Amino acid sequence: MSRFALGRLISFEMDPYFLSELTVLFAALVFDFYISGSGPQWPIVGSLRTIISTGLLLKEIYVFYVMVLAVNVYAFTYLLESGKILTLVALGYSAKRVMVFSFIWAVIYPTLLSTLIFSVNIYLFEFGETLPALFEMLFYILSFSVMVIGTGFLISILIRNLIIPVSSTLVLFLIALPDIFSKASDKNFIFYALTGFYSIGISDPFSMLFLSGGILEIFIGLVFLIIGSFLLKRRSLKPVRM
Amino acid sequence: MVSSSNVISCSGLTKFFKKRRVLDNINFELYDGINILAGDNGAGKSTLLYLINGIISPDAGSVRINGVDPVKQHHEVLSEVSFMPERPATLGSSSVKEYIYWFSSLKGTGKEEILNYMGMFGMDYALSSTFQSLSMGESQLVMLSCYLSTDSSIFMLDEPNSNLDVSKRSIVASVIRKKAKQTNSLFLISTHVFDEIMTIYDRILLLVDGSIKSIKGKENISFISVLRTDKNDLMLDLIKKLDNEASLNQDSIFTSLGMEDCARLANENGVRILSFFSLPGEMGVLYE
Repeated sequence: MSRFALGRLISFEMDPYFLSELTVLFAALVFDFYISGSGPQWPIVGSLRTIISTGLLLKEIYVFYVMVLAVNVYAFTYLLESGKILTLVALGYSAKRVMVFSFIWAVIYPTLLSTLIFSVNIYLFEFGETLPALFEMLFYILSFSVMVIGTGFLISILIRNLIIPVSSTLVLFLIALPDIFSKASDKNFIFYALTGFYSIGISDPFSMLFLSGGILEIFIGLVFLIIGSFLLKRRSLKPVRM
Repeated sequence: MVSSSNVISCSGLTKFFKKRRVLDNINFELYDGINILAGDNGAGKSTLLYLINGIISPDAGSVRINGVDPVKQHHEVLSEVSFMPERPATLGSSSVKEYIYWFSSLKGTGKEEILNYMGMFGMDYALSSTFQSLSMGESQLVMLSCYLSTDSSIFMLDEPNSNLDVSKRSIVASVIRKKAKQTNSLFLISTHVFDEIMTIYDRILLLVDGSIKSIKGKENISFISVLRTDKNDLMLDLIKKLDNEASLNQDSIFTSLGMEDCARLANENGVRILSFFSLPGEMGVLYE
């Protein structure tokens, strides 16, 4: 049994979704840069202003980014419902291992992509931002990705359908959570965590509020992943006939 | 890696899906040779295979493969087992060549051996195809070639003949027989199609509504004949003179008379036999 075969296969299975994500993120880039007219127009005087613009930049891509993560929820649901996870488990891999590999790829792809596109293209070239601030931005994106993907994984394991997990993820993170929690998200790190970087920029991005919120997001995502992998082990992995 | 003697043992195995009891107190021990797990659709055959392979956990009871728990030591156990689910998914894209590449990378089997089996099944032409362009039966043969090519000592095949035509079923049955003899391995094959595969068994397990109704070695099995004719009522009356336990069920006559007696009675009385096959006696319960 080849040592890295599972990782290579999961990565390969994710490639079509990688291309979709790339398209969505480029659309976001075009929207952000040319249509909404943000980016170059933002003031770059002093560290506080640039920091605030980081938050604004992230807020601009929020909708697109949730869409990108939804693509990964779809990818995982497809792996499950097409019987690919069953096939891999029948070859000797544990369901947990397959799920963790899928989780890692689902988080790595959009995080690296968005960081590359938004940070390198706009952030560094247009704003001349510092490297620590870049890592700060990476942390916001990563922690949010872990929470959304963990939630999406759990929903796709609970509800056996190709459409519902994706639409629930979109509704939850685009409408429900921002509507309920965004008003107090600059005061309470739990509210911030549940809102994600939708609310970033309305408060000081480097505060403990954001760091605590980010850590809470990672915690929520990992707990959902663990619950999901436990449920996956309990139930039949047989694909549902659709 | 082929060991001298393989054992699969199940003890008190029970599984629920929500409130439905899918398997109820399953107990058996299986050894090297070809073991057929027969049962209707929905009898619990696939679930039993998943439990044996440690893919799902039982609600009660235990499974051991060569003394090892497949749930706790899934990876170790499955490295000795080649388990083909009923509908294995493609790996990577939909190309057959790529599927073979990924299968051999994941399972550590040689590509030449896979191609060898594809040749035996007359499937060499499929190498440059995609699964979309193949029929269900052709896809099943490609996947079967992969799973049979491993050097495992235990093979578990879930409905390997469900999509195959009659001639291919016959080839598959003889290839499995040959592999079992050559490697002295344990085969556990689930099926609801009782034809060619029933000619190669060493043991039959009959699964009805989640319970094992009987386990018999081929030396202990008596057969019943199942036939359909153009005059079932007349034929039943004729048969009953020799076998008063014969019965008519679902448009088929069940009798302990053999093929020769049935054919003679039909010829003498102008009855046409439309279909005829024989089954292990215990499997008559599936038609009740």
